[in-house]
Amino acid sequence: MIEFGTLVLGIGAIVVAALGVIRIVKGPTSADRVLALDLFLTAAVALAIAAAIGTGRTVFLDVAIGLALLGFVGTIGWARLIDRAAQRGQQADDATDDAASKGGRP
Amino acid sequence: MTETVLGVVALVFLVLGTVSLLIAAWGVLALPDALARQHAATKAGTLAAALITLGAMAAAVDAGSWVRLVVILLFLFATLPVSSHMLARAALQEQNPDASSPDASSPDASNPDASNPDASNDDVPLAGGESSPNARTGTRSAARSSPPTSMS
Repeated sequence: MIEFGTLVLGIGAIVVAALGVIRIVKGPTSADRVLALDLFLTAAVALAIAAAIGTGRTVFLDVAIGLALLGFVGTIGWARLIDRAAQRGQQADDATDDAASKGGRP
Repeated sequence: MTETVLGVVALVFLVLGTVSLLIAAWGVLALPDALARQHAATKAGTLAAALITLGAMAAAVDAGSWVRLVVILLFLFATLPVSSHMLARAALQEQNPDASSPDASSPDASNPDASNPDASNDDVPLAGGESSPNARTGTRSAARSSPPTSMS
């Protein structure tokens, strides 16, 4: 019975990873891609838990802990990078606005 | 008897967690906006992680697996909302950079050129050609402020 649950969890996690890859490829903004990567890592944790149940080995749970840590740190880093890039781009916009208004309107 | 009950509980929790994870992926794939996708992925994803971990705790037999699963559950509960919050702030900043920083938007309000919609529509794709995410948000904000332009 638990083998059926493990099989459902494994197949579902693989399908979720495939859908996340579709969103990573399509995603119009960078935040969408990072969000899909976060979901991808949640699916990876679920797959590691399924492997731990299926094989009865505790090592896969250590893999799941590592994946959760890595996903958190990676998502925080990407979020800060997107935030700073947007702020810097807006400052560049302001600079070009000032230059255009000074040069265009004497 | 107890093993059968625990097996049924584990099966129910694992299947519910898988369904919740699939709903999260469906929401990420189908919802139209970045913040809506965020909302779908965070809530359904956290619920799915909790259900899958509880199902694995019902299925596990030794104490080491329980300790590790409790660590995974507590860590995911602590970190998934935090990362989603920061990612939502970054998405908002990326979507409309003018709205969320008050000290940078106040000179725009006093600037007569920025209040002119034609000037801002001309300025945004011009400045967005320097980096790719600003090009995307620039075309999106231009398409939103003026509907007759193309939606590409």
